[in-house]
Amino acid sequence: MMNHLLDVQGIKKYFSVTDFFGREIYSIKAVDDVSFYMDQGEIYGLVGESGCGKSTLGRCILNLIPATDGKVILQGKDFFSLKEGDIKKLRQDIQMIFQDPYLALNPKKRVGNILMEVLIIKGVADEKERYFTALDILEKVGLRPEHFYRFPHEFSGGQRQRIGIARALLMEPKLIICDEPVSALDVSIQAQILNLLLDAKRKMNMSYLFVTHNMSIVRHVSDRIGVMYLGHLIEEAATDDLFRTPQHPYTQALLSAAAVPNPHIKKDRIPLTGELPSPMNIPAGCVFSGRCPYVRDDCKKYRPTLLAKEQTLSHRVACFYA
Amino acid sequence: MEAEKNQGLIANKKSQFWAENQKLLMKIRAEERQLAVKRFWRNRLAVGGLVLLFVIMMLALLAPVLVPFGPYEMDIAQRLIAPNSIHIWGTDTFGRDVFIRVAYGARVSLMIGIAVSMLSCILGMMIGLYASYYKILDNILMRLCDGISAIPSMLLAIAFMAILGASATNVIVSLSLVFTPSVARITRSRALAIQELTYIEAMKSLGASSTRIIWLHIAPNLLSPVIVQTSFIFAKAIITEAALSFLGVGVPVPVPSLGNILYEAKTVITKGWWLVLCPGIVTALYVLGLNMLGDGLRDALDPRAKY
Amino acid sequence: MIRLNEKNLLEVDRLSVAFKTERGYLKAVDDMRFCVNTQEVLGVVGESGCGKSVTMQAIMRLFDERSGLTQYKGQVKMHGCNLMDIPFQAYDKIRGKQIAMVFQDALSALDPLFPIGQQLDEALRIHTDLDKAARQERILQLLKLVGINSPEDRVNQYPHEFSGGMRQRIMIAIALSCEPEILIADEPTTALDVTIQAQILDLLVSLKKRCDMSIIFITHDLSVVAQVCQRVIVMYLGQVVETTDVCTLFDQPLHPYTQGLLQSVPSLSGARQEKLFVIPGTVPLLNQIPEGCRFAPRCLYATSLCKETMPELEQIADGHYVRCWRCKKERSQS
Repeated sequence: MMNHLLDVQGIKKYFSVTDFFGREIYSIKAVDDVSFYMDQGEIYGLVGESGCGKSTLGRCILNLIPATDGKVILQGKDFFSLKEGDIKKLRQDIQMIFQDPYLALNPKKRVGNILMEVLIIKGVADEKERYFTALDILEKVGLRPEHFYRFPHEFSGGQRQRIGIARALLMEPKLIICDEPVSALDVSIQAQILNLLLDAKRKMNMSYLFVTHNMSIVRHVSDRIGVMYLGHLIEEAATDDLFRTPQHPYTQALLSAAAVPNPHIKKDRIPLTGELPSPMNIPAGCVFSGRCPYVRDDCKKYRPTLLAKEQTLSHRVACFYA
Repeated sequence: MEAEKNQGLIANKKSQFWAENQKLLMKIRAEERQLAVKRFWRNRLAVGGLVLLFVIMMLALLAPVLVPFGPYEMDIAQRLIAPNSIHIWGTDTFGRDVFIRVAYGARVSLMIGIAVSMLSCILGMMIGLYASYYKILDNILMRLCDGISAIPSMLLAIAFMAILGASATNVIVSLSLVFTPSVARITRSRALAIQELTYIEAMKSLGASSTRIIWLHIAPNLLSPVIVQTSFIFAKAIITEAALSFLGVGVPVPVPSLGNILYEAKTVITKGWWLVLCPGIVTALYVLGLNMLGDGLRDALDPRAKY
Repeated sequence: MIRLNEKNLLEVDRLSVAFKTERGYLKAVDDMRFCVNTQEVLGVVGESGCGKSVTMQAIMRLFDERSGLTQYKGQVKMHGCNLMDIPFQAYDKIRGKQIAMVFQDALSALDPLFPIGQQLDEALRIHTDLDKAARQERILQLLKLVGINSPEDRVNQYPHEFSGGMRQRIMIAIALSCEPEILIADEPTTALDVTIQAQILDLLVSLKKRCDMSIIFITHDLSVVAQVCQRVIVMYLGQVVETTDVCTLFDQPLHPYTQGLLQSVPSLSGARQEKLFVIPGTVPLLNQIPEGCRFAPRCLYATSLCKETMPELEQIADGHYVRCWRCKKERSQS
């Protein structure tokens, strides 16, 4: 059993709401027992709607938010139980690109200094070397040398996102977690950023955990996809498999609801009744039981685990009747 | 050989490029400074404040040149004389020239004001930053600050001076302690908001150390409100020092300060209105100028508003 | 002058909106021309900064031209009479009654201090003469119409007690309350999840028939346009560059910008992880609008004519208008 690049085991993140005396009133289960793995050079898409916990999961993996339970094994090393110095080293191997390009950069620092600072943290001692490396990566993401000494507010959203990507790439990580990197951008800029990311993957054998809610983008970019709902991973498969034969009723509904840029296709939408239940009120049993069109009695009582149903071990579903 | 020569050429070119870019950076910085200064001049309030302060400071510095009297020279024969051509602002109960005493008093107040505002700024920022970053420290430090700010500043200052004894240095120490919590509070609340922002998260994910994050990323982004608050503290320090000296627990006589001139004039107010009016007006103008300047500085320092 | 048939509900003719800046008036919208028919959904597509929201806000007269900070030119005709002639003070009769608007972010569009029943009531009170009981009934009717279950219980709840999709429905209910003829929806589903977006789009399409109204649907998402609209106008830098019915737009886009947009979107079929087409260059700032055709600096087919003279919006095929010299030339050649 070879070492996966990233092995997430049973991550849980519960936010507890306490009363005045510190006793817990209820807990919000943002992420509940999620396990999956990724290999080098692979792009794993994580989809789901708002409140499903995908962003929280990304931050837990990076330990930006401490997870309530679970393990993250990065290249064979247990991330959470490492000592201070080792964590810092391992941190450099896994970076993050954020959703909001307008807030991801320190507004008081010049772009060049932001990039050079990354190199200081990395340990590059020579000032000139830092300068030239930063300049180099700036050009690689499509910006020009005269942008080096400008402030972030002088750039557009797409350009800022590129600077964020440059910052992540400078660390030369093995894995980059992309948290909705293109949602805040216009269509034509989205295309540029996606091209840039795919380019980096080809040239540097980069792996991505691509978190998004847009089905066409996730299909375009990912090798494998995991679908999350209310903090649970409810289906996982290779991209083509997932889109051809989605097995979980939620995935099916999601795919049928996703708009296609083709007016001739009038889809038969699978109607989902009701609204997303609030994360404080997660149904007992299967999390989707409240809205599932095929719900049966034991769905409401027992929670299905994520298992491979068919011969292909790569397609996992959390449903009793898939 | 060929390869080495190439390496040499490349290294040369790189050094050239590097030097050029350093020059470019200097040029850009100079341009931005010019823009900031231009923006500052456009803010009439700030310019007015600066002018006012400049006038007072010129007064304080040039007074010995303009007036042949020293601040401690007593001339009993000439005491309590109203403003005339020899003593521009009259004399006090000991025959000392009021103008030169006010001028020296202005110097003392300036010194105290600068020291107090610098100290409370730095101390307050440190407390606020560390309290916001480490939750354990938060409770301790903030409760301490709450305790200090619960007591009215005048009473607290008086109490400190009573413990420490009257001297200019002790005035600085006690006023700094009194005003630090206000800076700490602003710093902490701004720092808490900034920590939620994405770029701080990004720095953490890069593996930056806490010290780097606190001082290089959080602190620069909250300088604006801190600077404004510091200028207010400067003004408050001057007034509080004047009040302390007026009550007799501030700068001890005979060293002149804007407040203890009033202290000495308490008994003879009806006979010597100039003893009250002159230091009073100078104090008021000082404070006014500082407030106006504080507003202007805040506008000029924000690189985001570039036009 | 675009005239599709005599049933034009709304005709916008050479509308331009300019804002006052330090350097004079800046035209955010220039020479807008389009029309909306009865019971039709018109899609307005463009990227940020193209002026689509400004156009709609101008139609709703949300900018007060009396202050001199905004300048309007051109005509907006509804049932033949020019709305721009109506003075600003009197425009309240039109807003909400004949033309209503739904915004992108329902949470900030609804007042958090008042329960939704009161907010619905307010619209009715302004525009109708119904008494209290009749208004209450109408409110419950409207909430049912937009798909909110058990409206009697929910009518006294506050906006923050509803989810995003529900709030959007409430906004639609408020917009519908006075039976407008035109509903302007400004990116109503951009902030919503995929499944909720589908529900809202279905709702809008069904309401179009039931309430006999037309919808102007602003969005930057081409997939949504494909699903919901009958006709589409594409905007770039404050102008209409192409307008036609939705099938023709996707099958035979003529303007290079439209073609570029369609090629930049990853589809749900077709090759994965291929390089997406990217329109070269960036959108220029409003105070640096190029001479001639505004898209020329980024257009692959630009000629010297394109860079010097602005092309007019002309009919290339039946119902298909394009603002492009190349398309005009190709039509005259065929």
